[in-house]
This record gives sequence, C-alpha cells and structure tokens, in this order.
Amino acid sequence: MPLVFRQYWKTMIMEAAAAVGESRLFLVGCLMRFVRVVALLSIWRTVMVGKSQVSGMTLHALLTYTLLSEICADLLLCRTGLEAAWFSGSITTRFLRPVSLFNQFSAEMLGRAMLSVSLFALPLALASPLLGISLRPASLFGGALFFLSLAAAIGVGLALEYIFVGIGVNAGIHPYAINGMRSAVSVVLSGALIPLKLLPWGIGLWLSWLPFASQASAPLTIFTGTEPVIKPFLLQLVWLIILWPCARWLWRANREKMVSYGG
Amino acid sequence: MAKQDPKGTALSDIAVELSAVSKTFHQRQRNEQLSGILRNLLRPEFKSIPALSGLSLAINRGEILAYAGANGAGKSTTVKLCCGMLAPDSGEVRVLGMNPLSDRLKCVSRIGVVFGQRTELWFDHPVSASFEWKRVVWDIPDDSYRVALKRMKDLLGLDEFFNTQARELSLGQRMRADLGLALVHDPEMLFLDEPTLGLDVLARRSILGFLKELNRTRGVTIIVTSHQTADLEELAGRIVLIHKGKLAFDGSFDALRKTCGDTRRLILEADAVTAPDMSAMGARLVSTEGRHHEYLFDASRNTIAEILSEAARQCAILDVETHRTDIDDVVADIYETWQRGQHPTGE
Amino acid sequence: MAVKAGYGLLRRIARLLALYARMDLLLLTRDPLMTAGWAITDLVINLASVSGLLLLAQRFAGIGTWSRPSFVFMLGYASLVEGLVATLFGYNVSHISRRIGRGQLDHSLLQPQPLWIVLLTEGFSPAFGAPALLPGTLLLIWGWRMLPQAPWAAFRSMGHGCGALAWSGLFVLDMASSVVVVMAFQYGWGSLAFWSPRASEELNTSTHDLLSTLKSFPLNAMSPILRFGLLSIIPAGFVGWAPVAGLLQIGHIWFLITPAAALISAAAAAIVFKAGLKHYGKTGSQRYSAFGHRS
Repeated sequence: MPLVFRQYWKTMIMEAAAAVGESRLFLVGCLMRFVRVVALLSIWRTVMVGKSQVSGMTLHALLTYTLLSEICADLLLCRTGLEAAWFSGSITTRFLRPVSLFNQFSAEMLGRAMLSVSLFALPLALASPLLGISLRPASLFGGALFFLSLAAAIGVGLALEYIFVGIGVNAGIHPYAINGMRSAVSVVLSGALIPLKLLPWGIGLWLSWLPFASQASAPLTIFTGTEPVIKPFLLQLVWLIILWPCARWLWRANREKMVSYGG
Repeated sequence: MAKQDPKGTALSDIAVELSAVSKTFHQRQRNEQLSGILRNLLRPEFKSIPALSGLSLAINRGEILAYAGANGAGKSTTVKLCCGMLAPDSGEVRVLGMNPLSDRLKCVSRIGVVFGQRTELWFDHPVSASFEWKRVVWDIPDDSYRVALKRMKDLLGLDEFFNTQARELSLGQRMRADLGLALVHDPEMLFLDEPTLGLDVLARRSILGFLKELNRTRGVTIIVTSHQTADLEELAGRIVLIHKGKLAFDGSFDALRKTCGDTRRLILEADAVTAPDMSAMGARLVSTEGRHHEYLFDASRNTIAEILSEAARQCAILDVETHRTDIDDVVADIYETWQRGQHPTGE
Repeated sequence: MAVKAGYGLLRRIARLLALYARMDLLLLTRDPLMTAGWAITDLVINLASVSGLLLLAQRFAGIGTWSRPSFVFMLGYASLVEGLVATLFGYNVSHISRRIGRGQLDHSLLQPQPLWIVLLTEGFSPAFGAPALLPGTLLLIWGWRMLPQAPWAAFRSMGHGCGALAWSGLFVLDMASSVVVVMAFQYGWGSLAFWSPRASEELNTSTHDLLSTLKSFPLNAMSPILRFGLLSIIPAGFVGWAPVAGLLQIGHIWFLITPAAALISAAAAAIVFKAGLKHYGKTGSQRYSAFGHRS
C-alpha cells in the first residue's frame, strides 16, 4: 500500500479510536442527532399538510432530502481541527510530521466521519423505512452522480475551511469567531437544514450559485432529483477550481502568522 | 476543647498530615487495532494503578519539604489530595488541621498552589487583571492586598511585565507571575508542583532564592516537587522519596546520600603516570589521564585521610580534589535500583 | 442573622459579577479590530440561527397552527433566551463538559468560594454577549407589533393595567425559567464528562446545537412520543414553544408549566452534577488542556 494511504489510514484509526477510547457515553451525541432529525422530519410533515408539492418538492423528496442530509452530515459540512490547532498553538508541531498539513487534518476528519457513519449514519439509513422514508435516489444516474457530488462537496468544504482560517489569521480574528461564523453561515446558506428551494422570495435561487450550496444542496438535490442534476454538479467543479488556488495562496501567505499564534 | 487559631481551625505544629492514605486509579486498556475499538465498546478492560498505598507523612509548620519520586510515583496525586481536588480511597488527609475536601473553602483560602504545567493566570488579560481578579475572589482586604502586591512586585520583579498579556510572557516570567498570584493572599503554606520545569538557570536561581526568603522571613511552609533534585537540595532540609505510592525515604539529603554508601569522587595528581593501587582501601580506579587519576570510594567505610595516606605511601601527591556525588546521580541510582526490584535500604 | 448573611451573599455575587463584567469589557476592547470582528460574528451567528425558520414561516405563512406573528414572537423569545444564556454563562460555563473534559474544573476548585458561586458569576459577559441579545429582542418586538391584539388579551379580565402587569411578570418569570431549563439541560448532560472526559468533552456543543435548532419548533405538530421527549429528556419545548403558548394562550398550556419544569430540571441536573463531582473527587482529571478557558 502506498505510504500516503498507510499514513491516512493510521491517522483515521487513531482519531476514530480516541473518541471511543474511554466510554460508550459518546453514543449520547448520536441520540441528540437522532432526536434532531426526527423533529425536523415532523416539521416537514406539518408544513406540507394539504400540499402535494411546494416549489417542485414533494413531501417524499423533502423527507429524503432531510434524512440524507443528516446521514451525510459529517461529510457535507465537513470540519477539520484546523482552527483548534491554530488557536492552541499545536499547529506548530504539525509541521514536524512527514505528512502534509492538508492530509493530516483531512485524515483526522475522515477518521471521525468514519466512526460517525458506521455508528450513526448507517443504522439511521437502515432504519429509514421505520421513519416512513425511502432512501432510493430519484434516478439511477442521479444516484451514481451523488457519490461524485459528495466527493466534490467534501473538496469544496475543505477549501472553504482553509480559506476561512486563512482570512481569520490574516485579519487577526479569533479562531472561535471564525469557527462560529462559518458554521452558522454554512448551515443556512448550504441548504443542509432547509432546502434552498423552499426559501421565500426566490432567495434560494441566488444562494444556489454560492460555494456554500456546493457543500450540501448540490449532492442532496442531485439525489432527490429536485433539480436538473448537471447544473449543481458543474457548479461544484467550478467552485473547486476557483477555491483551491485561493486556499493555497492564503495558506502560504499566512503560514508564518499561523505558526506564531498561540506562542 | 482544642486550641484554635484566629481563623477557627485547630492549631498544631503539624501543617500537613497524611495517615495511611491510599488512592488507586483505573485506566482503560485498549490496543491500537481497529478490532480493539469494537472490543472496547462491548467489553472495556481496566487496569488498576495504585497511586498511593498507605502513605503516612507529617510535615511541620515552617518546614520546606522536598517531595520527590520517579514519574508516576504519586507526587501530583498527593498535592491534589492536599488541595481538596481529590478524595482518598482510604486514610486521612489533614492540612492546617482541616480536611481539605470537606473544608475546601477554608483550606484553599489559606494555602497557595502552583502547578508548573498549568497557569492560574487569565491568558488573554494582562497580569495585573489576574491579580485584581484574585483580590476580589479571595476577598483580600485592600490594605493587605496593597502590601502583599508591593512585596511580590519587589521580590519577583513583576513590574516589568505587570501590564503584559499573560499569553505573551516567557516561561520564567509566567512562573514568577504565577508564584506572585499564589502568594498575594498571604497563605500559610505553599504547594509547588514542578515550579522550575523548563526554566533556565537564572530564572531557577531567582525562584529558589525567592522561596527561601519567603520561608525564612514569613515562615511559610513549602512543599515542593521536582525532578531537579539539585534544586530541591538547595531549597529544602528534608526530602521525602516516594516509590509506587509508598514512602521510600524520609530524611535529610546527607542521609539520602548515605543510603547509597556515601560515594565520593577523588582526583589525584601524582608524580607518576601509573596510578596508585588503592583497591585494598575500597577505592576503585575510574579513569587515568596523564598524571591525573580518578577514583570512587565509599566515605562511610574508609576515611579520606586513610586513602590519602595509602596513596602517599605509593607515590608523591601533587594535588587532590574530592567531590560528593551529585544528588541527581544518587537519586538516579536509587530509581535504577527500584526498577530492578530492589530497595536501597534493603526493604 | 439569616437576612444579614443573605445580604452579604448577594453583595458578594454582585461584586463578582461587576468584576467579570469589567474583565469581559477589557478583553473585548483590547483591540478595536477584534472588537468589531466579534460583534459582527456574533450578530451573524445569531441572525443565522433564526433566519432558516423565519424564512420558512414567511414561505408557509406560519408553521402549522402557529400564525406568522405568533411564530415570530416565539422565535424572538427563544432567541432572547439563547442570548441570555450566552451573556450570563459565557466562557464555557454553559458548556461545562468542556471545562470538565479538559481538566479545567481544578481552577474553580482552588477558589475559596462554593462552586455554584463560581459557576453563577464567572461566565458573566455583558460585553461579548450583547450582540447575542439583539436578534431576539428585535424579533420579539416585531412579532409583538404583528400580533392582532395585545399579548395580554387573555388577562384582560383582571383589568387592562393589571392584566398587562401580570403578563409582564409572567413573561419575566418564564424567561428566567427557560434560561434555567437550558442550563439544567446543559449541566445534566454535560456532567457525563465527569465519567468520560475525552468522549464527552464536546457533548455540550451537541446539546447546545440541538436546543438551538429545536428551540422554536411548534411541538403541537409533533407526535405525542416526540412531544414528550422534547418536554423531558431534551426539554427544547420549554425554550420557546411552551412558555410562548402559555403567554399568548395558544392551545391549552398551563401558564406556570415552564417555571415548574425549571424547578424539576434544575433539581435533576443538580443531582447528576453532584454525583459527577463526587466521581471527580475519586478519579480527578487525567487530562489537562488550557484551551478555551479564561481566554
């Protein structure tokens, strides 16, 4: 196995094991997520009473969209430990490892996601019939493209992570402020919580052009077939091409500041 | 009715008393394999680690006690027990006549604690803000605070960084600020857990000097843990060594040296290149360089006069140097002996 | 004697609150750029947290049986509760699992005052918390203005002035109770970090986010099992739905249900926290990180 894969795998295992290393109490977090998604599903059932569809979305599509969003939550709005490492100053020691920083942080993120997928997302997907939801894609093509779109969503998410932290370092904004702002903005603008199509005054149409939509709305609409599948996927590719060079440039420009923060 | 001090606790010459104190921690065990994650979820494994096993110890008021032991010996656990952060599994802990757990509030208002690896300073505030915080939270009367603060500033040189943010201090400055903060409420006793960790020689000297002065002038009882045994020797008259949670040695530094046989180093400059043979006197030749010959001998078995007269019998002696064994070496030897499963005092 | 002691205690708490307010202001104002950054960030975070449901209410002209004005009023109420929690219990006091999980409780235990006083005062952050109060206040006023009649209409039998006064008193009581419910929820679940500091360090992030998402969901639209769950082990219903339904007399909600829930949840949280603290006394903290505390 190539070295980079072995490094990735080992880091992922370490990160996954750290979370479950001491107790089964981490399952409480899964319970919280389950309650959240069930409550959201019930809201959709309430607002859609007496309506066959709203903005081209049927109740069935809406429920599938919401459930899939929760199942893929760790990957759609992906978060690495970058700003925490920057804040605590531990990022300095990261430079001493023979692995690129990008690989270190993304491997850790995938490790956490791996655990979350196996202990929460998969059981939730299997239990979907019990919640009265079918997790079948709207079309075979959409189903296949969903996985590519999901990979692109992770790519866009990681690029945004580096850009936000880079801007924060450059402007001297506190890492927690950066973290909070990005989380809040992403949840609303990405369509992870509420499908963009359901927003009033046509806001959703405008938001769908932003990079945040490529993080969640794109793969979810592709899967549920609530939009022509090609446009969101192409937009994701465009954002990948734009965002990554920006992220790399910001990262290089601020590297010294980043390492010296936190002592 | 027991005699009481003005603060309402029993007055005694004993500042800290530990009676048959035991404390065991349970550590979760897991291998590094993926399968270990799943096994750990279903059937977690634990290992018991005795931190203290029936430890009994008394420390007098006004004393400076060096508290040493290898990593994991139970030093920090003892300090945490004395500060009311941990409860013993069995046995009793008394600090200034109080149970630090049930009388936590009274107790912590009369002691000062410094953990070398953590700071009590507020990171994103200037040092002055942490002192002001301490004044309010500890409810220190204004007059006493002003006097104590001035004393701390003078003795520890806090003025040069008093308005600097804590996170921008050097390690030495941070430790001085932490010490000042721990003492500004005028505590009767001070617990120091690794106070010289990572400090350069000048910063160490300044802190050790300050602590000695504090003990001499204000009679503050000090319990200090450190891996720098030489620092401990400079500071304290009495050393307690613990090993696997048990008291392994309690006495003076001289007595500690003697447990290893009071080994000394002798360097002779003779007129001959051949080193005198003094094996009959128990002196072992360690090295020879030109006319300089180095020996190790046990001063408790043969006096230096006897050894020198034997040397003088064999050759003409031009110069003599003797050294006591470095205390760090003594302690290292003791730890090594413990690792081999023996006890230097034969227990 | 007891009155004097009570007065002394209140004075001490007031003195500590003043101290922490000053420190909070000092921290915020040490750098103008950072001050502006924080203010904007907090505003964005708080606006974002309500905008989703607000837009949804606009799109569907309310949610279920809740009209748009009453829903906006509820959103404002719930946001104000969240803002109050952020203002009164900042610096990870409301995210107690972080302090426990990172071994930072030792800093509190070294202070010569009861732990409850430390936790009641140390998180007071009027400067950092102010932006969090703004969206809730604005939404509340907006919702109020849109309501077809005064919110104390149901209390008119007491006379107009008395009715308004009684309603205002109930509003303040409910608001305080909702804050207590949120804190009890955070402490009840966050105390699990005493037993599993690593795995549960960020548990209060999950619980906080959960309440934040569910705080203004109208529970009458949900199944009885889910509604029971959201009024017991995850009491999101008491952050917005139940108190506002009581205040606006929507449905048949007992108007003192939120204060009663606050009492019960506070007692439950205190039991769990005390048990956790006892466990902490046995095990101590095996980890320590200065991260996020006092900074």
